[in-house]
Amino acid sequence: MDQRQEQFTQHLLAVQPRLKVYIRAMVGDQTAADDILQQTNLVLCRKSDQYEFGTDFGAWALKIAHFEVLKQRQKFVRSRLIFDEALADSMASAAAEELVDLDDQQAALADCLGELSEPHREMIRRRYSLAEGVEQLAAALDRPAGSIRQTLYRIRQRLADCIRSRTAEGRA
Amino acid sequence: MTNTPDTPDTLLTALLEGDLKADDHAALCEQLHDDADLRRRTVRLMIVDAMLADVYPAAEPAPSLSTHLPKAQTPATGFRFQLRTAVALAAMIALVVTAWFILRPEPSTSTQPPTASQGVQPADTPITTVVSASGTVVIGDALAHAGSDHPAGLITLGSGSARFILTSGVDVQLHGATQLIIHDPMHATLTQGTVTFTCPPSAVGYTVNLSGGRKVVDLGTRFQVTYDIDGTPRTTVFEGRVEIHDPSLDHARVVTAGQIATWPTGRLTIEPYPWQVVNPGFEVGSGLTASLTTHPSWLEEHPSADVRTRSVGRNAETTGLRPIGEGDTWLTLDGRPADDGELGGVYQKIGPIIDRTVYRLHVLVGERADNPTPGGQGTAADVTWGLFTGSPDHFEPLAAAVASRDLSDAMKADNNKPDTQTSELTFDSTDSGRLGEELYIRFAVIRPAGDKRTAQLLFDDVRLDVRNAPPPTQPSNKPPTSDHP
Repeated sequence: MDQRQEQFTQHLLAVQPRLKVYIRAMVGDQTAADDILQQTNLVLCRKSDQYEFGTDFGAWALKIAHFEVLKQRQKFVRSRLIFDEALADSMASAAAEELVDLDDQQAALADCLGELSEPHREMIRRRYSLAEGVEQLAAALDRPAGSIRQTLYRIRQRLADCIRSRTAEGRA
Repeated sequence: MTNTPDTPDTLLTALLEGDLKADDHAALCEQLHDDADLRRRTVRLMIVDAMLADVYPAAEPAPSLSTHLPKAQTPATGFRFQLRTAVALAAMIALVVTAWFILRPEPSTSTQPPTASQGVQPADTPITTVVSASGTVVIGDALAHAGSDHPAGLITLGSGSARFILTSGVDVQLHGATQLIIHDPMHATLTQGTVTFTCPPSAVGYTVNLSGGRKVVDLGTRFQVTYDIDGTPRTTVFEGRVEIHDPSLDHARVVTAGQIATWPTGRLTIEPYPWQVVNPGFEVGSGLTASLTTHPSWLEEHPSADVRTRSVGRNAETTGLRPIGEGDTWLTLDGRPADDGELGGVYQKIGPIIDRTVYRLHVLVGERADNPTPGGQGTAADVTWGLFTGSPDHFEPLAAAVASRDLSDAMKADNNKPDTQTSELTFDSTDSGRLGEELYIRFAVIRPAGDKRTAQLLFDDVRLDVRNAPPPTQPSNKPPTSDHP
């Protein structure tokens, strides 16, 4: 890889978390979002010669992602439950605002995970690292599936609140 | 939270879990259209979801530790992942096209000249053989399967795991969503995900390029490379040694077994890798009057539960008589004999003991102030806790404490104070002759009180940490090229 290609690859890797959330916010459905993300990466590579080094790579990538979502969403309308175009635009605006300080949010997450109880951290680890679904967790922990769903939701909500609180403190 | 079917919380939960029904989807869209706060909250939850997926990537643990995971930790077959896998193929094939952009062999940076068999191969010469794949794998422009051979190219794994062997003898294992570029039998670039490399002596000099111009050069070893959530590479060495090359440093650093190299603040940091924690979930042994069957998991998972082996575990009348634990529940082991005189305890089966592994059990031990402490003054009762092997019918201690022998004088003294002490017990399986035997955590009464008096010992913050034992000292096949940092 020459230097330009290596820099572009680094930018592309670094922007993946933002792209992931941005696209998912626009479509809702995780599977469709994963597919559109891959297509977006392909388009970004094809258009690499259009990117001006030194400018905001993230903004450039999100713009292309936005266009790709609108272009690709028709492919999923029949097979997946995805947001309509107007809602996709509204969600994109919300996502763009929330993703501005993603780096700070990522840094805050580690601390916020540390505030969880050990059982809750373990549940999250199993949910994500081992991809155990609600039913599997319910069976393993001998708890009703509804209770597991609520607990997972509460944990995510608590983490979101904690991250917001910490990033706000950082700005103050 | 009291959710009814159409509340935003319920709908968002279904959205995040990937099982939103059509009617609920329509209801959610309607609410999102009308409510800017809900849109913001939804995005925040999606951010958390995405970040958690990165913090806890779907990956196998360090190979030698995998048998110690709780039994419920089976490979993923969840709804969400099945769907992802089903559509991943088309996406991955599209991704392969990107290989043209990033797939170019770099000039050799190895500290060893490649041998003839390791030299640059013609583009279509097979250099990779797939050994196994639990997920969909694309190498170059072909779908990979066990036994298939492939030339250099971009390897893309969507989920699950895959293992393949290079013609240089290097064993490569991909864990979870990973992209690895194989340039030739001796050079690769990791762009995403987690890979474990096992390099034979013939492949010394095998080089993995990482972001930021960093490189890992093998010195005959087994190591794992991954990226942290912020894109920082992390190299964990399980056996042998590697060299870390960092453009910001004037010479390479050597990282040895049991160490991690990472760049948490942009500067190379080498430190011992952390213990892997296993959370126990106890079962009841014989001779106990109270049941733990409704509380099968880790002690503090049910902080309000009355977890006990006998007698009270959490009782307002005696709360002040107990020290403050890590949570608000103590496991209470009572030396008062059961009605049938049988002794009992609780135990957790961890799994088979594996080679060259250090097990460290951490326990916070407390006493009740208003009764004699087992092993202490004024009681015949005695209890034990620690790591055992054997079976529930016949346990054998590997690293165990006994109250009468190992409690502090303050704990043993009948001084009306609820004292505590930390107990750490370590068992190294290296040369122990115990390989393959079952490992248990156990708390048990070994001698009952002579009368019907309460004689309790309390346990909390029970944690088993596991890590690889330090490698045995042996001659290396190549002297280090730099001092140890």
